[in-house]
Amino acid sequence: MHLDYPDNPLIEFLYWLINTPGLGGIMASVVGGGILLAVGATLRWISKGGQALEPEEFAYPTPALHSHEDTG
Amino acid sequence: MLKADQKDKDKLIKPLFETGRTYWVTIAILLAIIGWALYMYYRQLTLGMKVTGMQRPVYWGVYMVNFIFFIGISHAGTLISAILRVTGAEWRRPITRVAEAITAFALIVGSLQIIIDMGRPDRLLSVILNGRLQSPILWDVLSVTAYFLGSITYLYLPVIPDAALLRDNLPPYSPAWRKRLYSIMALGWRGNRTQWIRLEKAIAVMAVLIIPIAVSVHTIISWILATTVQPGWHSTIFGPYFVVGAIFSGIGALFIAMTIVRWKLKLEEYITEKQYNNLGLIFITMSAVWMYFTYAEHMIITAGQEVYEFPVLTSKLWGDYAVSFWVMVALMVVSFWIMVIPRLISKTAKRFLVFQPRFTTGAVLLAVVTGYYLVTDSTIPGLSGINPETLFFLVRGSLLVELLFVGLGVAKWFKTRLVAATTVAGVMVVIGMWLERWNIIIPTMTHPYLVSWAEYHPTITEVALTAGSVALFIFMFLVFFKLFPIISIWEVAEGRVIDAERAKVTIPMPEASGIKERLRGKGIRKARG
Amino acid sequence: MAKWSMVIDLDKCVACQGCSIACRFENNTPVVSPEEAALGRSILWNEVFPLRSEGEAAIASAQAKFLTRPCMHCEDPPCIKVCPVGATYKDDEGIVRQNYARCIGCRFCTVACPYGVRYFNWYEPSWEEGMDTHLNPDRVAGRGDLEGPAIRPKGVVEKCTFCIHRHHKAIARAEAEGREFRNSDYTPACVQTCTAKARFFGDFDDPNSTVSRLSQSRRAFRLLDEAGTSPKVIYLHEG
Repeated sequence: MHLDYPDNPLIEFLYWLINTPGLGGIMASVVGGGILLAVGATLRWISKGGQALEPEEFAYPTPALHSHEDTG
Repeated sequence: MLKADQKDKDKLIKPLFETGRTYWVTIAILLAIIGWALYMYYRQLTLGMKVTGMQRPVYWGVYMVNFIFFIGISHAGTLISAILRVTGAEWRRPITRVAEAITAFALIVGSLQIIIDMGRPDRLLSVILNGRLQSPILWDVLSVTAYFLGSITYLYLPVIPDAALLRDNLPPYSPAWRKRLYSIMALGWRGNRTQWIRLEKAIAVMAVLIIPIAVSVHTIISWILATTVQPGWHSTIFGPYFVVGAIFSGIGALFIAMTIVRWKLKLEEYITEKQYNNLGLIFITMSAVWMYFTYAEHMIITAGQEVYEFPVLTSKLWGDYAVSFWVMVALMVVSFWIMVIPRLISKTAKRFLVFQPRFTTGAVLLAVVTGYYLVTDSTIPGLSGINPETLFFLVRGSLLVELLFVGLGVAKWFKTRLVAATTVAGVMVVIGMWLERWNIIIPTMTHPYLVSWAEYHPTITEVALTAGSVALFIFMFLVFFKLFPIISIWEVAEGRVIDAERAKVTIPMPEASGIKERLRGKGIRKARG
Repeated sequence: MAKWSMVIDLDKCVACQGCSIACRFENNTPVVSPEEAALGRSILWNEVFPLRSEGEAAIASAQAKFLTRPCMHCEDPPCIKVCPVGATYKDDEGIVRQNYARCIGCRFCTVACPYGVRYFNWYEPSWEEGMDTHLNPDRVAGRGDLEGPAIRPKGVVEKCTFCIHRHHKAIARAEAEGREFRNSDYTPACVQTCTAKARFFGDFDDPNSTVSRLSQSRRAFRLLDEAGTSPKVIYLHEG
């Protein structure tokens, strides 16, 4: 009944990966931290967009805004 | 300076700064419930988990049910905003904000359930310090973290232009801290072309990313159960079954929120019957898929001849959990009925006797009488001569027919009341889905392999913490929508412009294609519009 | 490296529950009030109970078959796979252990175990006056570790450890006496106390040990073999 895994370094490595306490936390931190960094960067990018030298301001996207999309 | 429409100003911005007494009374009641729950939780912390109804073998109870339920509710936002955004469904615009807020707050409350359920919440950080990737709990930590951060961002991105609008359109009597709040939240939003294009890109990317994350979240929650060998849980169907159930209950919660918001803030012009109708069609689909999965799950156990799974199944069908199981089924069937049948009945159905109110009233009265005889098991006058077995089927059969007539009458009544029908169905499904989670967890827990079978009765602590969780959810919802407009102003404004543009476009009928001939053949002379 | 295993001869067992009591005193298992016990909160690392299939009538007529159940110390333990923090683990000699200092009390392992051998501390353990001064002083403790008979805090899971502290003591004694550790030096309390001499303990990997030879018996079976856990507790029963 007992599952005997083949003696394969890859399988041993994968088992070590899932079975070692702490690695899960590192992975969670990487995922969480990565998302936070990406979100922060995106928000900065959007905010920085305000520095472009464009006189028009739109309260909401209008066809006038989108018609220039291909050129801008 | 960004300028808001006068209509949006009156309907969406003004209520943010004018607070009625009902609002404060509601907040006070909610805070009282939350306070009660906090006190009960403090008791649980000091006295231990013995204040709950849990024991051996029922190691997981109402907290786990609430956890799965709330995370399920959180799927409302993903479905509505992400899927509808990706597919470009225009009618989504007025309801995206409500849906996304439900996601964020339900996730907070749902994750809280795990901490409430832990025997050692002080060691929470250990999950990070010593986290083992083999445990499904770690998978949950990963996917719920990703989903939470993603949905908060997804809620926030469309708020940016609205915060800027608010910053620039504050009524003169608004307090200074609000100006500061909106300025910070707007992140220096100017609304120039580059910013708009970047924002729309970010939202589009988020919408695509959040869909697989949302699917993973409820799949993994189901795997917490399905990766064990406990009778009734070890099933491959659990992943999709839970995801469908989650979306289903999410739409139910969204219906309730939509209706309350629409009614309280008089937003009939924004949230129209179109939203109810289209969302209702998705709801009907989800209902059908959910029923299919539920049937499949129980059907396979019935055919499996597993000695340990049978007691779990029979406890649901006619044992200890028959009430919660059949109430769940009834709620789902009735909600399906009032969503589907009114759509099928003709407007002129009143011609037929079965749809007339007096007929329905009669059927209700008869059903009550029949039900009374059935429940009390008393003898029916005049029918004592009939063979008891025949009578058994006669009484049940006539009750079924009477209920069918009641259903038809009710369906006729709901025909002209789409919002009412949808909201009632939403309430039913939210309750039904909570019961579904209960029916999955508790019967398996009470019927383990070796330990003697047990019963589980939630205590006042568990009731308090459940009530507190619901109250916290509503509280966060109310506070958030006192600060930010309940409807995404810019998205609705954009939708108005798109509608206006579309109305101008006329497509000429192609002469050579023969379409005209075919239309004429069907008796249509001119194409409409 | 030994692979510790237990054989229980149900045909010899008289269901005296001596093993349960010995275990309780050896491992400082907290006593619960009758009210809490009725709620299903008693903690018995080694439980003796009638089989469900026997029914009430069989118990009343003293014909029931009883099962005495320590932890199975599975080769493939479902509890270890689900633990998010590694508070439960299988050591080099195949014993499934539980670290009270790390357990977060999520109760996933108690749910995952098909044998129900894992117990949760629903509240702070307490003993009657007089009893509390006669607790087993043995400890298996280290930095961030708290195992075996150590007093459990509330909110953590505990379970049978094959009296792991006795193992540690036996090794220490052999060392102090300047001799090799022999497998017979180490015996869990339930095996030592068994009235009917129905329990055997030893190294499963040694083909000449009692447990190895008994496990070859035609009467040998494992509990819930279909759960795929490969238990290291082997039962003997006629038929």
